[in-house]
Amino acid sequence: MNISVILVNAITDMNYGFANAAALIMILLGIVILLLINKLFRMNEPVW
Amino acid sequence: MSGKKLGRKKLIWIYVFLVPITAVFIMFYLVPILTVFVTSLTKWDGFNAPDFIGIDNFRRLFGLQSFRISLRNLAGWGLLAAVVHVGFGVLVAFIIFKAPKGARLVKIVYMIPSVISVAAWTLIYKFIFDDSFGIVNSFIRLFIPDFSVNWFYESPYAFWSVTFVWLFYAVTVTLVVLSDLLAIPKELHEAAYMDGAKEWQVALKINLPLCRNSIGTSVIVSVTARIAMYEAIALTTRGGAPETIR
Repeated sequence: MNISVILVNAITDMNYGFANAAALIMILLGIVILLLINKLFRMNEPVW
Repeated sequence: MSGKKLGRKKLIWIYVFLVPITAVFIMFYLVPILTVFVTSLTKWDGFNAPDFIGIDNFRRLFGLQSFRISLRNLAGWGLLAAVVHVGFGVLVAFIIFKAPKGARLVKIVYMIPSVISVAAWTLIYKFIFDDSFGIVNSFIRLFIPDFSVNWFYESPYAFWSVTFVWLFYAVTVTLVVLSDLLAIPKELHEAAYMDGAKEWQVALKINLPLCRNSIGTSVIVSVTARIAMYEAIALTTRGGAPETIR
């Protein structure tokens, strides 16, 4: 089970509000992961 | 023409060239994301006007057992993607970079899956893990004749079976890291070897830190891909029933 599976199931049930709630969680998770890894790998600092 | 006027003229052209990409960004990214945000607070069947229900959708979502399982799976897959998937890709990139005998063949063989669609790739694994005629079960039955496990439908095997579908498919990671490795000036390696550094020291203390950005990018791509992963689950576990992928 994955959030995208929940999203697709909600779309096939034509429950777009619920599907978009799941999509929003996915977007937020993506942003959090992006910021976290950026910080962890110090990607904004020059390597050389 | 004065410098100030030239600057203004350049600025206008900068804005002119920014217009198409800004329009595309607004149309295809910003508006959909805002629509997602607004409609997530409604009950909407796509035909009738959305009915505002506040945070009920989120409350329902967080109350679902399948959502909690999804988050747990995501945490597990995210960790495996960051450590094993990217680690494997980086390792292959480092090996190919040293160009040992047969590296070109390995490179070609390793890249082949990238021309296969995810759906076909997933179906190959579905056959590998099939209960009645899959390679895995057939091999185990050589030693345990009565062995029967439905890898994609039984807990906790389903999680690991789905994981195997993508875990070692790290072509993108290898390509990104390899391009970074090839950009490292040879002088750095030569200086290290002249100072008596061994192969593993060069790899760990020069190559790895210099590939930090590409490895970070690979981790971002791999982990976020786990959030949106659908085909691997839908085609193997038929949508991943909550009681199966645990």
